[in-house]
Amino acid sequence: MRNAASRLSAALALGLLLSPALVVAQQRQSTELSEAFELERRGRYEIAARRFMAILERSPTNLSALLGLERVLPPIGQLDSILPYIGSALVLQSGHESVRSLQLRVFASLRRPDRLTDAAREWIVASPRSAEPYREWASALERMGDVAAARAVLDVGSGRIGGAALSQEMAELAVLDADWVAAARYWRDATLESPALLSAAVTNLIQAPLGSRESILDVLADDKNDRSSGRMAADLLVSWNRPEEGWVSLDRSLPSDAQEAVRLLRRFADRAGLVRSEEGARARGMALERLAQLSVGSAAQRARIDAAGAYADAGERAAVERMLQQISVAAGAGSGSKAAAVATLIAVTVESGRVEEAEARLRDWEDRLTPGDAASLRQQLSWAWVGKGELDRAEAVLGDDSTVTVLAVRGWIALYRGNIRIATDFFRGAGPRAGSRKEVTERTAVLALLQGITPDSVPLLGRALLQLARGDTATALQALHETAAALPPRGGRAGVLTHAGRLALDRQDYERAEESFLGAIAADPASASAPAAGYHLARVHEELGRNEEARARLESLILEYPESAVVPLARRMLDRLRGAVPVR
Amino acid sequence: MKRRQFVETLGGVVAAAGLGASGTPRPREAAWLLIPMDGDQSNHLKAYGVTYRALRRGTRAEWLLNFRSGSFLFPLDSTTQRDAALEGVSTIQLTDADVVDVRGTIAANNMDAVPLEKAPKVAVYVPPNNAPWDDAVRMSLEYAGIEYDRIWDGDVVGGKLSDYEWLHLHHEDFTGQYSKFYLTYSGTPWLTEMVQRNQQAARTLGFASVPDLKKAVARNIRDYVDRGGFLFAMCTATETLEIALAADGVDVAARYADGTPMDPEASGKLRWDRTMAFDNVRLERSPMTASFSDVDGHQVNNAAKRQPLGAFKLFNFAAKIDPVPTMLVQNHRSIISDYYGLTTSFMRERLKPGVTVLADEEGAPWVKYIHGEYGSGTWTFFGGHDPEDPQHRIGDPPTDLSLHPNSPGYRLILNNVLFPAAKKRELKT
Repeated sequence: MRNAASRLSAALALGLLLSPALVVAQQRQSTELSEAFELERRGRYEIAARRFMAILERSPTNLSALLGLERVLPPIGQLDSILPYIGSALVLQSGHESVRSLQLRVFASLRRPDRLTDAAREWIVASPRSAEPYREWASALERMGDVAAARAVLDVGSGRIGGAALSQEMAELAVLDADWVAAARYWRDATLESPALLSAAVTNLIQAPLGSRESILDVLADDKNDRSSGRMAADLLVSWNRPEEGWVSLDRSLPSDAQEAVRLLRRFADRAGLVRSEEGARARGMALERLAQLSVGSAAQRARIDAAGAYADAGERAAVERMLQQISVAAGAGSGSKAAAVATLIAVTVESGRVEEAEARLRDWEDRLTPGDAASLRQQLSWAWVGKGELDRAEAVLGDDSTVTVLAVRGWIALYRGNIRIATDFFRGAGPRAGSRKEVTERTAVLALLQGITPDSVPLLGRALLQLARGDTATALQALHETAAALPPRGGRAGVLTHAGRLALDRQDYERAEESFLGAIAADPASASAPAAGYHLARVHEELGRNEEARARLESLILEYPESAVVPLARRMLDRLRGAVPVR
Repeated sequence: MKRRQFVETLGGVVAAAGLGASGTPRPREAAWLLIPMDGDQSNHLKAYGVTYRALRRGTRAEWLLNFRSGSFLFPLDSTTQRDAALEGVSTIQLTDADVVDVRGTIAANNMDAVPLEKAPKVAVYVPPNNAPWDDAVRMSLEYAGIEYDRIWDGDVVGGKLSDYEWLHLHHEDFTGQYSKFYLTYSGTPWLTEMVQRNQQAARTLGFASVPDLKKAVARNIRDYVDRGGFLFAMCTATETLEIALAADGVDVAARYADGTPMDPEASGKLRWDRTMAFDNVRLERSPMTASFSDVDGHQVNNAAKRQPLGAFKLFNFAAKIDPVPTMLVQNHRSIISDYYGLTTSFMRERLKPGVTVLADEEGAPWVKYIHGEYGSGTWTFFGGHDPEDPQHRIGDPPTDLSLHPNSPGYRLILNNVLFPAAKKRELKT
């Protein structure tokens, strides 16, 4: 016991004596490495190489120094100087995979195929059960441009090692040969053995041309019990813009482990969300609905709300209402998520045209909704009443709200009643920031139109614009022409005719559009509407295939109204007509 | 009077006389039209088109090197004025006295006035049926309204190059390896079409393979320069043209291109005495890496070697001594953001002695824009694919130059188009 205690004391004493020295040596090596890296970063490769070599003289297996040499020697044309250091490292650690791999890379870079073969074979002898030598050997051959030899090495390796250890590399080579069926088989084997390779497999197979995709899916569908292939097929189908088929594939291959299933469903929903189409939104909705079924509590509620949003994007109103119904009745649901769900439900109800029902639901829930949600829904309802021609109800539902966004809505309601001055005041009060960019642009355009109109009240114009808001463009067009005829030539006629012309152009009524624009130019050639009418008239000519007339009209506009705001548009159109810029 | 003072004085005179942008009333004594090319120009690119068309009509013009960033001066005529107004090109009307002042400023500073005598006949080497939107030069020619002919392998091998004063090459791979996209983009319709079109051309013209055809085309292009042609090349056309010239008799193409693998010793067998710009280049051997050699400093498709984009700086030359490089670098910006191409830049150590560097990235081992003479002609190489699309990935939407009317990068391209219009005796370099 005493002897043992003495030995322990001696060892501790020795340790105390040796430790500082070891620490100093390690610190020194670390400092030298840092200096070498800095020299390398500054492009002083020769000095950096000498530093790395000095470290290796003392510590032959220092991998950082060996890799540093691999980087700095090629620029100074001395890569072969690394070979003795690799040799020394392998004498000390013959099975060091990183050094073995480095050795193969160096022989490949030095274009020494014989030495490469010898080194690879030595490594195989040293590690007969490892796939690494074959993998690195093939990689080195591929870098040398010898794809056939790389494939042969992988074939031999696969035969000797067995399993799917080299399937990933075989798959990548098959893709280079455009042999997509073989690639799919190799990836199927690889992911069966290592599910973590799923992303790599998908990234690789995703580039398959259209003609090969069905064959790939056939390969992946071969084994109905192989769920990893089903997931791979699901990911590929989403990437190929076939999200609903992808959902079917994923649904079939979901694992029984709920946690893993939830992860896969979330992943699929995110990917489907990237497909900007109704089909993508529908697939996302189905995945999220399934996710909600597998989740509990707030996670399930979030999934239902997300699913409702996705279904709404897909135009699936019944599915949206199903989701929202589930949210509303869910036991233990937080009041916040419930209110958000109800707000969405009201919005969907408005969109489906059931305005009375939506307004009743809003009255029931208004005090529990966030102020922002409630205000937004009131405006939505107001527009819905405008759409039905019920201007009084549209105004009433806004209540006493005097925010700038509501001022804008009130401006439109006043305009639809024909009150030009009141509408103008409301629009000015709303300012340039109320609503979306599109709304601001529309308001600015209509303000410009109203400013040219001299009478304070033009009920005919209000009715015409209301028809327009309700989607009856044909009637609105006729009413706008009647309005224009009733206005003085320089008291707004040109602006109203230009507006009518643009509507006619949008609905491809080119004859009416041409008539309107010519009328606008004739009514007041000096007004700001004249160049705008000229520009749109050129658009009409282009649509009718009368490009020479369009060009002449644009040239005359540019030369006659050089200060007009439409001149840049006219020049751009002229460029397009000449074929000077790409057509978007 | 210093240039800045003069310009300010000129601006004052113009304002007092009620002059300015196009469309303003013409003063009674105005006899000249100046197209300024500095920051006051509203559309630099179209200014070249206005100048080119004026030359086509037989109008005399002068290129005022380094005067307001390379302005153009014309005798006042209504057609040029109208053309400039339609194109949105800013102009200033000058009196004879103003022009005397301008010439005095030019004489007293590092400036020169180069007469432009004839619009050059322009050819662009491009496969048939290709839309112009993937070639920066064609885009700039289309946008500026400069006429050009499209020629391809059959025309070049058939000797049609002698019909033109200026030839442009862009994205073509003269090693015949389809830009080395063959393996990574296998099966895509555009690549399939490219391969079929090239193989058909090789068969029709009696060549064993596409690489053999492209080498013959490269030799014809070099001979065209030798006989006095002006060559302007961008992107891969620069690097691969040189490799094709150096590789006469050496297999530098991958198996997929000609049925045999690249000669493993190809780099050592290349003959750089047959080329115009580069020397001692080492080839990229992997058929999977869309890179051709170590000429390019940026190696955009070689993950291990790819370099980030910086900015390149145009050199300032002595206008009266070196009018040619001065013309090629006329610009309202001296530092320009870089942009990738399959060949983005040129490693300085791979340039032949005597090559004139027109622009480089300070502190970097590569240069961007180079020029040289070969025989009786000249060549100019400009790295990168599209100056206004720095990353330029396959499938990106085409660049719309109406959104970049003041692009300094595109200006450099258009300098090259007008450069052959300069009166021969002025070309001292």
